[in-house]
Amino acid sequence: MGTLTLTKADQCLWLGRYTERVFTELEEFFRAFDANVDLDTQDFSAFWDACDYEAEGDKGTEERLFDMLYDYTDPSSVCSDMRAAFGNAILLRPELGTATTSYIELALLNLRKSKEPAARLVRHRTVCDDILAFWGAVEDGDAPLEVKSLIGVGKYVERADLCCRFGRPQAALDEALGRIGIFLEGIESPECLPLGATLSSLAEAIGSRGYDCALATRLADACVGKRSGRGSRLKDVSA
Amino acid sequence: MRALNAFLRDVYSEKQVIRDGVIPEDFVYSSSGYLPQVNEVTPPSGIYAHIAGEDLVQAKDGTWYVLEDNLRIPSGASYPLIARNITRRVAPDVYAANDVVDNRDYPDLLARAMRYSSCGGIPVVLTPGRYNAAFFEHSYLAEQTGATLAYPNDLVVDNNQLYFCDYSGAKHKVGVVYRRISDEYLDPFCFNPDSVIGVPNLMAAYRAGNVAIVNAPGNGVADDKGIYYFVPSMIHYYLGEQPILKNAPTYLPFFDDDYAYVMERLESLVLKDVAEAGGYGVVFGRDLAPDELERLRRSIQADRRRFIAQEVVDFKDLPSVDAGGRPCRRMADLRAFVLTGKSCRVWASGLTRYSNTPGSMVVNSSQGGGFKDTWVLSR
Repeated sequence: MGTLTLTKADQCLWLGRYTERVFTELEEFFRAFDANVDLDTQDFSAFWDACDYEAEGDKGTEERLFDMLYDYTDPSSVCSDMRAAFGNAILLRPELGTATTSYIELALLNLRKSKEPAARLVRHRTVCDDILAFWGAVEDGDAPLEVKSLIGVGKYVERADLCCRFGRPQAALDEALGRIGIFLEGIESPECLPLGATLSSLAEAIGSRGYDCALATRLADACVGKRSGRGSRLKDVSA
Repeated sequence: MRALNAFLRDVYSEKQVIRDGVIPEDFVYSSSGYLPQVNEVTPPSGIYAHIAGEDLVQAKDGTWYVLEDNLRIPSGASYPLIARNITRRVAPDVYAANDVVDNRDYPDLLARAMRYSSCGGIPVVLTPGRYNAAFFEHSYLAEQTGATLAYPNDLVVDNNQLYFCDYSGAKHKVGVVYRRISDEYLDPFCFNPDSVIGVPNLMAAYRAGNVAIVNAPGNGVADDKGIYYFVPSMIHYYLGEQPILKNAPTYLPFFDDDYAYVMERLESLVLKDVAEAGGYGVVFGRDLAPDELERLRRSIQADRRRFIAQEVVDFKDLPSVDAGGRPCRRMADLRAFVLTGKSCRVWASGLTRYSNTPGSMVVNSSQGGGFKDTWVLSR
C-alpha cells in the first residue's frame, strides 16, 4: 500500500487535473486565436464559455484575454490553474523528486514571462513543453505506481471534461475515459478514495453536454466497488 | 558532541555533573530547555543529539571560535546541498579546478543516523506543514533520505506505538521520527496543551522505547546560552580531554567576579538574553545610547541568570556580492553539521551564513542574512 495519505492522494489527483487544464486551455487558446487571426472580428466567446470565463462587460477583447490568461485572482484563469498545480507539486516533492517538480516551477515562470503579446504564443509553447516534460518525468521517474496512477487519473478526468467543453468528438472522449480505466488499475484501493464521486460528477457533466456517459458511469461504479473482482473489473470496464 | 551527549544523558539521569559542582544547578533547572517530562528517559540507542549544528567563526587572527551549539532542531543543511547540486551543473569547471570535497553524502549520513536509532519501522520526517519557513528543507530531506514526509495528522499513537496512517486506513509502524517541530509543540498531552501541530501521546511511545525522536526532546538544556559557558568544563569532566576549539570569551553575571567585570565593561561587550534565539536578544554595548545602556544594566541587576556577556570577536569578513550584484565584503559564520549514529561524523561542508548589512555581525536568516555553500578542500 505504501505511505500515501488521503491528502496526498488528493494532491496527486489535482496536480493531474490542473496541469491538464493549463495544457489544454493554452492549446485551445492558440486554436481560437489562430482562427481569429485572418478575421476582422475577434470572437472568443466559444472559448470563454468553454473555460467558464465570465468577463466584465466593459472590457475589450485584449483585456479579457489578458485577464483570462494572467489574472491570478480569478480562479478560472490559466495563471490561477498553474499556481494551483505548483501548490500541489511542491507538496509532492518527496514522492515525485525535485527534478520532476521543477518542471512545474519552470512552467509557472514561463507563463509569467509570456504576458507580452508579441512573445505570448511562443512562450505558451514553452509552458506546454514544460508540462509535457513534467508528465514524461513522472512516468519515467521513481515515484510509486499509485502516485503516477492518481496523477494520470486526474489528468484524464480533466481531459474528458475539457473534451466535452470544447466540443471534441466522442472518440476523443472515449480515449480519455479509456486511459482513466488503465490508470485506475494502478490504484490498490480506489474504493477508499473519493474517486467514485469524482467520476460520477464527470459522467453527469458528460451527459449534460449530450455525450454518451455510459463508460464514465461504469468507471464510477467500479471505483466504489459495485462489482466483485477488482482487477478484472477495471480491465472489463476500460476495454 | 560526545561531551554534550554525555551531559544530556547525565542531566536527565544521575545528575552527577551537578553533584560534583561542575555546573550549578540553577543553570540546569531554570533553563527553559530543561524538560522534567523526559527525566529518567533514555532515548533509543542512547543518543540525544543525532544532528548538531555548531556555529563557528574565524577571528581575523585565524583562530576559530565556537559561538553556539545547536542541539534542538538545527536547520540549514539542505541549502548548501541543493546549491552544490545546481552549481556543479552550471559551473563544473570550478569543481574540476578546485579540490572540493563532494558534500552530497549528507542525506546518506542523516539516513544512517536515523536508521541507527530506529526502533524498527519506517523513518518519517515530521513537518508542521507547508507554511513553515523551512518546509522546503523538510520535504527535500525527506526526498533525499527516502523517509516519508509526515504531517501531524498522518501520525497516530496506539498502545504506545507510533503509526503512520495511509489513505486506506492501514497503519505503518514508525521506528524513527526526524521531527521539525519544537519540543513544546510536539505532544499536546505532554507539553503545550494548545498545540495543534503535535502528535497526541507521542511522548508516551517515546518513553516506552518504541520510537526514536531525532533530536531527543529536552536537548535545549545543553544548547542554552548559559550552559555554553560550561562546555569546556564538560569536555574535561566527561572525556578527560581539552577542547580543540575555543569558546568565545564569555562571562556569566551570575558569578560575582564576572558580574563586576560585565558591569564595568558593558560598553565593549556583546550581551545575549539566554531566553532568546535566532539572533534576537543580542545587543552590542557599543551600539547603545547611554539611557539604553543604563536600562540594560538594570535588567542585568534584576536577573543575573538571564544574560551572558561575551567579548566581541572581530571575525573575518568574506567576499560576497551586494543586492546590486557589486562585489563587497560581509561578516559571516559557519554552521558545521555533526551527525551521530554509531559514531560521530562531521559533514564535509556546512552552511555559511552572512550578514546583508555592511559591518553587521548578525547573520541569522530571520534577520535578513543570506547563505552560501561551504567548500572543504581536500588539498
